[in-house]
Amino acid sequence: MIALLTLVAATGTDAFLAAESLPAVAVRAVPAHLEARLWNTLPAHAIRVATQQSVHLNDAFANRSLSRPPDQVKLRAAYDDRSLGIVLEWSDDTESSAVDVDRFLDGAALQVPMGFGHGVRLPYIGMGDEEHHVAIHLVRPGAAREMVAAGFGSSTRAELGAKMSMRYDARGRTWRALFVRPLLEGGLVPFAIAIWDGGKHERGGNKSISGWKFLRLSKRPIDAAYLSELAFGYGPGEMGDPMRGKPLVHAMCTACHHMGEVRTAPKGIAPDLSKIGLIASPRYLFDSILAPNAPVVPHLHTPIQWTTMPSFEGLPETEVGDMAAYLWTLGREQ
Amino acid sequence: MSKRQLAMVMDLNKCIGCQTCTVACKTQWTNRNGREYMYWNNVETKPGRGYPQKWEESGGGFDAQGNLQEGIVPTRQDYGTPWDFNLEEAGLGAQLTAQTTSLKNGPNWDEDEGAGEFPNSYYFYLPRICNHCSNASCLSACPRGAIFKRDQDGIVLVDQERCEGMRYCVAACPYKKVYFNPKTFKSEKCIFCFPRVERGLAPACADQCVGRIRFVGYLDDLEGQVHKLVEVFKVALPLHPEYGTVPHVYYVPPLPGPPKFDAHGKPIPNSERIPIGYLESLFGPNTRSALATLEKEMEKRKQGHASELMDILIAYKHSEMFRLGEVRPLVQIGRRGIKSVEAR
Repeated sequence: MIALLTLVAATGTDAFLAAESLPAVAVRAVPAHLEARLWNTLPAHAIRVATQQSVHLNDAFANRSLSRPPDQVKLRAAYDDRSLGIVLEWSDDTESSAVDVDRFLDGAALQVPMGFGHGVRLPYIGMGDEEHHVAIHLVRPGAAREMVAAGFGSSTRAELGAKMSMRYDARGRTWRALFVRPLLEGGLVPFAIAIWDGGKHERGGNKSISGWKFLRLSKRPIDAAYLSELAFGYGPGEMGDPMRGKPLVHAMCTACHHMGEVRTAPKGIAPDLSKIGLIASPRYLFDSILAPNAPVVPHLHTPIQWTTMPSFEGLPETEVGDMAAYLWTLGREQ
Repeated sequence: MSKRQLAMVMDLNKCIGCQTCTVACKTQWTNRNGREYMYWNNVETKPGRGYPQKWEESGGGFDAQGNLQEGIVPTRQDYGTPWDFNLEEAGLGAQLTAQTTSLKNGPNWDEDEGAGEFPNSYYFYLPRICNHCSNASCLSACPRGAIFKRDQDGIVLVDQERCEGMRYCVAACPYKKVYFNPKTFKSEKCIFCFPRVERGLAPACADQCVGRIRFVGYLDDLEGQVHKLVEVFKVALPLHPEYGTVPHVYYVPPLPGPPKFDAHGKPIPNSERIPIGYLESLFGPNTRSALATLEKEMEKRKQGHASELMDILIAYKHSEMFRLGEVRPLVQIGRRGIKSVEAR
C-alpha cells in the first residue's frame, strides 16, 4: 500500500515537472542584452498563454479578440550566482511601438511571488492577493517599469532591480523581451508571464496570461516537500474524474459562471471560467470550491458587481475532486 | 454618491453657438502638452454627429440592470485632428489653405447643418462638458480606482498619479468626455474648474458665456437658481438619462421653434419644426412637460403677470446665477492694475 502511494506521488511530481517546469541553465554571467549570443544558443521551451477572460473588461474592440485560441510564447532562461535572465519570444504580425489616442503598445510582463516555498500558497494569478504579494516586471517598447501588487488595481511602482528591454524583428514578425532580475532562492522558482498585443487594443486586463510556471534551476536541489505540494492533482486520476465532474459543474456552477458556450448566468456576477484550466492549478481549483474566498482579491468587485461564492464544503471530497478535474480541462483542450 | 452635488444648467434656447465657452476652456486648460485635440467643453450642432463624431453610438454607460456596457475608444479621426492655416503667407497675399492633406473631420465639422429640408430645416446648439455623474461609468470602469468623486461637490476627477493610461474610462463614458493624453500617458477630463470653484468662482465656460445660458450651483441649495430650474420648475433635464450614469449637467430643451411652412409658404399652425420625438431622444421622457411649463410661463409673462421662471431664465445677475459660496478671487483690480490678493 505504501509502495503504491509512493508510486502515485512519483508519477504526480514527474507529470507536474513535465507540464509546468522549464529549465534555467547555469551560466557564468547572465547577459543583460538581447543581442547576446547566449540567448540564441539556449534551447527554447513553449508556454501557452490565453486571453484573460476571468474578469470582463469594457472595451468593445479589445474584447473582439477574447475568444482567439491560446498563443505560444518561447522561453529561454539562464542564471548565474546573482541574476536570473529570461527571454520571451512570441509572434505578433503588427508592431505597436507608438502610442496615440487610439493606439496601444505591445508589451510583456514577468510576475513572481514575493515569497514562495513549502507551506506557502501561490498568490492569485491575477496580480496576487492581499496575503500573497507579487513582483511584476513590465516592459514596453522603449520603457520598463516594476511594481508590487496585492490584487487587481493595487499595483504600486517599486524599484526591484531588474533590467528589461524588448525588440521587434520585422522579418520574422516576432518580439523578443529580456528580463534580468535578482536571483531568487530555491531550485524551483514560480513565475507567470503576460503578453499584450497593442494592435488588438490590449492593455491592462486585456492581455494573454500563463498560469504559474516554474523555473528548474539546473544546479540547485529541489525541495521535495515543496515539489510534492505543487504536484497535487497531476498524477493520473489523482484528483478525480473530469467526466464525472462535468455534469456536477454544469449543475452547480453555471448559475453564476460563464464557461465556453454556456453563458446563461447574468453577466458580470462571477469570473468567466472558459479558460480557467490554462491559468489555474489543480490545487487552486480544488481549494476554490471548498473555500472560494480564501484567495482574497481586492477590487475584484470593480468594474462589475461580484457576489460572494458559497463554499461547497458539504460536498463529498470525491465530487469536489471530480469537479476540479473537469474545471482543469477547460481551455486546455484547444 | 457624494455628500453634495454641483450642477450646471444650460438654457439651449439662448445658446448662439459662438464657442466662447470652448475657447475659455481651451485657453485655460487644453491648448498645450498633448491636450491640443481635446475639447473638455465643446459646442456641437444638433441633430448632428457631434464631437467626437457619433459619440452617441460609441457605447458605454450602464444597462437597466446596472451592468457596465462595452464601449469604444474613439480614433483621432473621430475627434478631428486640429490643423493650421498658412496665415503668414496668406497675409502676404497667398491663397488661404489648410496645412493638411486629409481634411475629413474636425471638431464641430457639421456646424449648422442640422436636419430637415428648406424651408423647414432646423438645428440648435448643444454645449457639452463632463456631466460629473453620480453613477459615473468612467469611475466604475477604472481598474485602478484612479477616478474619484469629491464628497464636497461631486466633481469627478482623474488622479494623475494613479492613472496608467489604460483608457477603460474613455470606452466607458457614454458622453465621450474622458480623453487620453498621449504625451503624459494619462487620461484627462473636464475638472469643472475646481480651482475656481474652490474660490467661489464659476467654471470658465460659464463665466465667459456671452449668452448667459449657464447656471452653476449646488442641487441642494434651495435658494439657488440651479435647484429651482432642476427640482422646482423641472424645466432643466439631463442629457441621455437612459445611459444610467445620473449626469449633472441639465439642459433647458429648445422650444420646438417657429411653425413649419406648407408648400405655399404658409405657416402650419401647431407644427413642430424640431420634432418633439427627437428632443425626447436626447432629454428623456420629461421633455414634453418641461416644454409645456416653459410655454405656460412665457404666456404668463406675455399677459403681464409675474413669472419667477422667466425672471431666472433672463439671467439678470451672475451673482444669482452662480452660487458657490464666498467669492475669493486670486487677483483684484487695484489702482495700479491687477494685483494678487494673497501678495503681502
